[in-house]
Amino acid sequence: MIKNYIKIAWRNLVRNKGFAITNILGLTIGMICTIFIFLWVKDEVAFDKFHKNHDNIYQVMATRDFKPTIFTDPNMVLPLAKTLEGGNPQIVRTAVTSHQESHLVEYNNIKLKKDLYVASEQFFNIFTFKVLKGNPSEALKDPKSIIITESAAKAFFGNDEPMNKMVRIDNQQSYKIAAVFADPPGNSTFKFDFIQPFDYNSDYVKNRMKEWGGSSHNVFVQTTPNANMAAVDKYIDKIKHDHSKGDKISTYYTFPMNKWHLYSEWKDGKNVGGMIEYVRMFTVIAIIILLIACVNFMNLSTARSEKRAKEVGIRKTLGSDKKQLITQFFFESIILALIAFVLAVAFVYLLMPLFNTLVSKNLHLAIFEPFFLIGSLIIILFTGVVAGSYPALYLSSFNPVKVLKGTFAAGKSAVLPRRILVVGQFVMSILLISATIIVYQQIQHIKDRSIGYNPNNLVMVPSSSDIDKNYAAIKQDLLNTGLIGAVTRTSSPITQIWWKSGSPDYAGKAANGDIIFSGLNADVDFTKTMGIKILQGRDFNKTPGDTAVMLINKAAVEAMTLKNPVGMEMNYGRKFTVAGVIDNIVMASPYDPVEPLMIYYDPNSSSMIDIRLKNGVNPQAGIKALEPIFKKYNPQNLFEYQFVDQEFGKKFVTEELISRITNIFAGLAIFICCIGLAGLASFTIEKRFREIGVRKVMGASVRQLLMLISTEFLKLVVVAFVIAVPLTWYLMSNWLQKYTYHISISIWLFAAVGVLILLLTMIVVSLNTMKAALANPVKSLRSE
Amino acid sequence: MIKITNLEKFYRTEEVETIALNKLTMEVNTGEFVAIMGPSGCGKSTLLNILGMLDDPDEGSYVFNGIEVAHFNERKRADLRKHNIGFVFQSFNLIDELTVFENVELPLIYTGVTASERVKRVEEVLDKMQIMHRRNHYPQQLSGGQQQRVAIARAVVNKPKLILADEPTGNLDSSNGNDVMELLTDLNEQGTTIIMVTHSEHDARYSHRIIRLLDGQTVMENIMV
Ligand SMILES: Nc1ncnc2c1ncn2[C@@H]1O[C@H](COP(=O)(O)OP(=O)(O)O)[C@@H](O)[C@H]1O
Ligand SMILES: [Mg+2]
Repeated sequence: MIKNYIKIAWRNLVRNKGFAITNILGLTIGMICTIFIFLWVKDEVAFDKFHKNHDNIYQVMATRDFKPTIFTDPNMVLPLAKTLEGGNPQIVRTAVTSHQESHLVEYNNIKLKKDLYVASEQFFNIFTFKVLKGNPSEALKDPKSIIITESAAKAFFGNDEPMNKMVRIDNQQSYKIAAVFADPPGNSTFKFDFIQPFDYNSDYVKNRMKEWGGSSHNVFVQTTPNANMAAVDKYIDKIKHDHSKGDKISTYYTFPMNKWHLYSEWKDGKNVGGMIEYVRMFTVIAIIILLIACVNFMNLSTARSEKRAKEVGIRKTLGSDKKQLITQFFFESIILALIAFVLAVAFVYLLMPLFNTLVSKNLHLAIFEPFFLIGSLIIILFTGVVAGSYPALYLSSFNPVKVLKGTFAAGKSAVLPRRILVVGQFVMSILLISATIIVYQQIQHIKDRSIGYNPNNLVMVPSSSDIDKNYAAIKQDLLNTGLIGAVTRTSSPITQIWWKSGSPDYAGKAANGDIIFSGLNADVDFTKTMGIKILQGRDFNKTPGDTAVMLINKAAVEAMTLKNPVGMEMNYGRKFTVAGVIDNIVMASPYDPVEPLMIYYDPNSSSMIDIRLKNGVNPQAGIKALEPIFKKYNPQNLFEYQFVDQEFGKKFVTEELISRITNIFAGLAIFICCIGLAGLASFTIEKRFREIGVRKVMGASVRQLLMLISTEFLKLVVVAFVIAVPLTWYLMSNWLQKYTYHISISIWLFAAVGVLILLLTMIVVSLNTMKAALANPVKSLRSE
Repeated sequence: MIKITNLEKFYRTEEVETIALNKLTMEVNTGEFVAIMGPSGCGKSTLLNILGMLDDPDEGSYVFNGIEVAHFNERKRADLRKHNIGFVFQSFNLIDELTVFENVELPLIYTGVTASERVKRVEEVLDKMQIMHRRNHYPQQLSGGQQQRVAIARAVVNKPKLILADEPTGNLDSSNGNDVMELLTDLNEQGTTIIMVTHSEHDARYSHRIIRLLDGQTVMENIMV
């Protein structure tokens, strides 16, 4: 029986090549999308899961409540990890690390900037990275040791043995390579080239170990399986508060590793998701695309049912019951799905490098993994069963008496459902296209937002102690090149906020409650270099330093509700006078409002030298002019630079990635719809071939014939449009709500999408109708 | 074998209600060869479909081999049908996607006959119908007469007790038509009950008895001598 099913399924496909190709093409494209999306989703969901203990690893976080604003802070004090260890049976291990730091590493004459974490002894017992050589846990106990990744080892030592080689860091101390491990996989939160132990004998670490304020480390705990996390949180919170009585605004708790990547966003002290939204969104898109492809199959199958009706009638007459027929039709759709899947996998293989570039990942298809095998089975069965369900039920329900008598117009009763399905397809496609455009417009809108400074032709050079020492000379040399308009230095890149705290004290400050301030140290010519507007007062102007004054931004004036800020006294550790108010500048997320900012002069804490190239200066020529100056005063270090506009652009990486992916998928969804439409149109024409001939004999023009056939489809598109517009509007308005600065959805957008879809339908249908409309009517009449 | 009593069948379309069968009563015995005649639209096909359990009556009783089947559900009817009844249609109704051999094999598949047994039985009937040499052809490659022989082969391959033929010669020329009638007569002589609808007095003469219908009712029965 099964052989018979397969046989007839196969012959049906071969006989009806157009039908088969249309369906297989649609399903293949749908499945390619689905496979890619699922690979991407799998990679996202598998983030950090390569650590054996990932279910029991937590990062210690703090909710800091500066009334009325609350923010979530991963920064912890250095001694916290050690103090937590051993004090609670549910905590198995703890570790503390620095932030990821970039350092100059030197071996022989090779100098490279590499990423590094300083980590405490238990780091490798909690996090299981793949060790290639040596014993990393032992290495972390020896402050003279350092641990290197495979690729970094290759960069420094080529094919030589890396173990026991000495590398020098930041032109200071040398460390011995004591272990080598495989590069962290692409889906690791920790990304690094080196891991270095804490040196508990150094004065710096000794002091920090006694310090229970000033948080700048990350603390991790590994718990027993099924630990009571509420109790663990309570314990951590208590330990921290026992040691720092002054800390009244913070609550400490643990954040599970399984959520680090997908739930990384916080707002008002609450987790608000993150990548998980995109993971969900793409999963839905994958399913929608597959459904659109399935609908093609349903529509074409039922449209073609007249041809199958006779077969159904005969089979029933010969004793087949409905169940057997349903099974047979499912067989056909599953075989089709199987063929499409095999093709899709082949294409995924071919397109993988392209997709990897697109999503900046390193994904690959592991065909023999259980994930893939189970996934394939699910995709094939899902597609086969969904696509086959309606045709199977529809076709198998034919009444043999009517069918064989020839009075039965098969396909008639499926017209309405088929129309509904076509409308559904187009609703989905219009929604995807409109949503894509809205996402794109929103990103453009944010990019066009006034950021308060001019990022173009602005260069940042990372600072060093040598640069700080020679800053005055460097600045003079730079200006002497004639290519540079202004120079300043800052304690963080202008594209990032590294420093947040409570507000300075000022007259009129509320007794309870605080305002979160961003902080920045800057030098003379700050506003001139950055191109920031001074709203009141003046910039820093004394050389060497304007140490007693502070600049604040407009947001700060508003938050503190100051009437005459210039000249006011601020107390932040020491006394400052407000010298000027500057415009709001977007340093953090371009999606969020600018927070209050204070800026004061501190010559010892610069991290960036900021250089404004004169208008019209070619950036590369500018860099060429900078290089010798920095090499001269900072010979020990590599010369590095960043263009601020590019750094600012990085804030859009995720959104642009998402926008690119949705673009492609929306395009493909429309394409699959069009394939289905083409199939339906050519089928309609086949059925009306004689009618077209008769009409032609009666004098109908080609244009009239095209209209006759197109109208049937255009009507459906119009209905789809009417449904899709409010739906899109509702969904996308909701999405836009999460942005403080957002566009309003324009009617023109929908009008444009509507015209586009109508045109597309016209073209697809016309191309198919043309042949019949142009054919010699005598032929079509004879063919009866 | 067949006993129907006061059988009624209505067709309702939006406005009109057609009475296709009107309190029809008749009996067919095992081994009989019965011809049903009557003007177009008098309900012949409707009757045959009900006898063949492709359709169910609205009123009345239909006893098949001593079993009341008038109210059987589709599944039960299909079951009874596939083991007992073979069909021959005016328009042959072969499946275009299957070869001659596969078309004839189909009823055996539905009754669960093993593959080797199927080959044997199909070859046997194809031989008997003299279309063995066409076994691997598709229906469109055959003439009308050949197609009807395949259809008859398919109808008898399961050795049904009853064959229902609805104008089996309607699409054939007289020579091919006579061949078909000879085949049916042979089958009947071997014990198969045959009920045949026909417009042709010539064909009707092959039968034992003619039932004439008018407006869904029996108007006359002729016993052939
Ligand atoms: N599916 C149907 N719907 C409505 N009326 C039908 C249908 N099938 C048959 N009829 C009507 O029932 C009557 C008997 O039809 P039928 O049994 O096909 O006649 P015959 O085979 O004797 O020509 C006719 O009047 C026909 O129009
Ligand atoms: Mg008839």
